[in-house]
Amino acid sequence: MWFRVEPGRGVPIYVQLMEQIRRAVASGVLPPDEQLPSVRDLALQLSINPNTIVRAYQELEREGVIYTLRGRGTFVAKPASTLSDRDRLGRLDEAVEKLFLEAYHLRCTPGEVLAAVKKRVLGQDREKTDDGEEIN
Amino acid sequence: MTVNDPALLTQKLSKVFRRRTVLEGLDLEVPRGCVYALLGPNGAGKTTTIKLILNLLRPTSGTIRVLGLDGVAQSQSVRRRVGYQAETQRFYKRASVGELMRFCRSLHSRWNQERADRYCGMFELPANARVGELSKGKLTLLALVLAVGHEPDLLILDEPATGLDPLRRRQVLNLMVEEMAGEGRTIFISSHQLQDVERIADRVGFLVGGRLVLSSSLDQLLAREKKVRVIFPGPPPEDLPEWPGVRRVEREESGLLLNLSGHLDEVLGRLAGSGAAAFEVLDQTLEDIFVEYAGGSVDLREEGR
Repeated sequence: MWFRVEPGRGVPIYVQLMEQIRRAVASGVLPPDEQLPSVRDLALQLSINPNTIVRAYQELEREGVIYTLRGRGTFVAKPASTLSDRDRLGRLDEAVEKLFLEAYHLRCTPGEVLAAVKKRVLGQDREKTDDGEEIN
Repeated sequence: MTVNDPALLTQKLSKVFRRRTVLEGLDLEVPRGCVYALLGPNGAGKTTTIKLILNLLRPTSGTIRVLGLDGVAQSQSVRRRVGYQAETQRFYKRASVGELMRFCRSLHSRWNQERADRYCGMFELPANARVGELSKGKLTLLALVLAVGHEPDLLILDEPATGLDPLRRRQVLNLMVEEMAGEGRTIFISSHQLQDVERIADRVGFLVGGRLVLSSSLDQLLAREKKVRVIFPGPPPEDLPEWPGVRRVEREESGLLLNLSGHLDEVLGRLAGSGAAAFEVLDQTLEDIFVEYAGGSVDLREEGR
């Protein structure tokens, strides 16, 4: 898989890497048990500090997104297997808290927030469909 | 010496040339196995710092420990375990790359010729090329190869990317990756290429006017330094510049721009509670942060004095 890091984005590179791996796992681009590149290979591919990749992998492992087999490498975890229901819902709660804070600061109405969540979760991306129809 | 000693430790290090203070009270600590980038405007004292570490200059006061050794009294031992690429190269121009390599090899008891050859291949430095005919960029690359040949524990690179095109700069970064990935070497670089530094550095230090004004983990620095754009319909709180984390308050067209160092959540909470109509948190790049810290005035509160 091809990763991109953008120095000069103002976001730490290990965070950029975590975002991309998380997204690739969530969208199925990286299926469960798929092997991730070794720290050294990825460091050379991206010309970044190996410690940065170690950190991204460690944090993702803590989150249950990936797992490491000693001497064999790093692999994509199965979505549900690594976390208990309590941990799962706890983490969802944290994400909702972040969403709530952001929405509060943006002064969104409850209706706007719910509509945005519904749209994302149910995959009803209306704007895209509309754009597509216009072009056709 | 133990493995726990930092790769580099200076305490109250100062250097005065004639009456000009070039370096003042430098306290620098570089842990083992990391890449530390020393950043600073021209004339800030970066090269002087490096020369002091290598005992090419004598400190006016203060102490230097390199890999647990005394930088002055044990400088011979230090030099054996340190690789150094200088900012400008003074090689014997009529020698060939291969001859120069053999000479450097003869100076060291340990030498990894296989690795040196591999780097020469990557940088396109043929053994029969005359040193005097190499471009400035190629000379820097040659100096890099010669600096790593004896597998030093600490690699000191003074502006390694100067005058190199993007491809060569990526190759130089990959040389650093290779050097640290295997044996966990420590790398100390001075550089102006801030995007390269963002790729490779664990820690950064800002040297301004001979003083170290900041030394931090790069990830923490990017997470900590933010700008917040805020609009107040009424008068802003008078004590805003005194709020925790607020380094500086700038006026903008319709609002204020806060330069924050940490305390983001707290400041956002207080803004929400003090009538701010809208605000926006802006990430900063290493370059933004560097300019902020190196750009002269740092604190409005002190400016009027």
